[in-house]
Amino acid sequence: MASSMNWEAARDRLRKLREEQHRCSDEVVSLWEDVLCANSYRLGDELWMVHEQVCIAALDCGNKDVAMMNLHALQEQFPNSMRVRRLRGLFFESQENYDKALKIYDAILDIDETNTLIRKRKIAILKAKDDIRGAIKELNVYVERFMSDYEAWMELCDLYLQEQDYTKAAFCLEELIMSNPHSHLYHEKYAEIKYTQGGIENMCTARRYFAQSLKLNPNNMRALYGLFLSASNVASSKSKDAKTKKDNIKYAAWAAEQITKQYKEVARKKEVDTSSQLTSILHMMDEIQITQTS
Amino acid sequence: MAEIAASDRAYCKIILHAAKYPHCSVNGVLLTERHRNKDAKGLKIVDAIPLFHLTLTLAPMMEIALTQIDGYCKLKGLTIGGYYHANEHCQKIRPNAIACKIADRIHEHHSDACLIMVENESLSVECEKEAIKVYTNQDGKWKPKEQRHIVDSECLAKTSSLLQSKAYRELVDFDAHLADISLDWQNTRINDLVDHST
Repeated sequence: MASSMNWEAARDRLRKLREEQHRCSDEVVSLWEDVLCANSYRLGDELWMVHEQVCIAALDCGNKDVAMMNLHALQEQFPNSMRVRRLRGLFFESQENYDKALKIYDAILDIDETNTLIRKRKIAILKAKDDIRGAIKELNVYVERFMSDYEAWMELCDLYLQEQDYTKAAFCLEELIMSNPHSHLYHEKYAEIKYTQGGIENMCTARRYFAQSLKLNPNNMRALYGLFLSASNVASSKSKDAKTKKDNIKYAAWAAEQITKQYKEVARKKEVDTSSQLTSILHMMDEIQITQTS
Repeated sequence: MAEIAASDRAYCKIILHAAKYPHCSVNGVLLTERHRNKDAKGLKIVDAIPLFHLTLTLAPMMEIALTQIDGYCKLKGLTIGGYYHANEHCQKIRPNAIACKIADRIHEHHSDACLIMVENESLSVECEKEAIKVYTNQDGKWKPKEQRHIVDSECLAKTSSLLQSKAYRELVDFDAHLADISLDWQNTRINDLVDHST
């Protein structure tokens, strides 16, 4: 519980959440209210980043009072800051007063039209209004200009997935993989999209990308399960030759072995009981039926 | 039409799942048993298994989850008899295309399967009223079922108490399990909390 933490632990926890960009807004607000608010004088220059973090978290939780308190502190300290003006925009967004928010954002863009955070807030407003097609359109314009903004490409991918436009979602992930060929996460997600698209060629592509993801990170559980499923599907496909089927049976068997190994390893290391989960997994492997051919 | 009832456990877990990821779309399956009285038709939802909060429209992990849950059901004498879904957007309470698609798939194996949508705007820590709407499959389309209550006031009070104690922080869905397999998607601890809460 936040109230039993000392101020240093609370400060460190907020730092971690900031650095790793976790969205745990209710925890952030609790840490502020229960611990750090009374100890804010100890934070030094970090106080301003904490104010910003707590303001955004409070807006996320609909806690107007805490948000305003932190926003006022920032406005007093940095009266001409565009970063603080963005927070005012966020405040209006949280009140669903999108016109006022857009006025602030457009004024900032008049001064600095390359402000990517503000451009993305305008797209976020379209999402908030449930105009997903509009958000997709604007995000396409954005990524054409700011091609190396990986967060934007991933957001675009997720919007396409929401619309079940798997082809365009796959395209976004291809851009991400090209820019970061060592990311096991990108490979794994791409494989999931290809799997979902269906058809034997997509299934083979999925299997290759799941395998590549595992090469980059052998502990990626989603990739292990994905490899097991996709290889099993290829192995039982009528349109593939005997050698391909045999190879895929081996891949599926290897994946199955690795999955079971991981659960047993976790049971041992973390002293948790995974026996019930293992039973479900064994049932799953039987259901998906890897058949052996000699 | 046959009455549908949900256990405290099922309702609490649906609401806790939505509370844990308020900025995401979440979904899960409903586990059911038949009413013991053969003459009375009806559906008793005894449990809910939270599935995803990341991407709900991708197939592989859904297949993995459903097959494992099927195994779990066989052990417990239950069946996958429904699906629940909370839309990301606060005001959207009708089932979208993916919710209908998944519910259709469950309906293929279970003709009485139901689809539960979370009514986002009715969600509150106080739980003054039910925050779910049940849909049943009528002539191939999912239509809202006219029924007064799915859960009782005692269940709502339990849910409120769990929300206040932030029990949702301990809830594990399949996405969380896949990221860290030491986390229990069967949520034994939450089940105990619900069953022993007054």
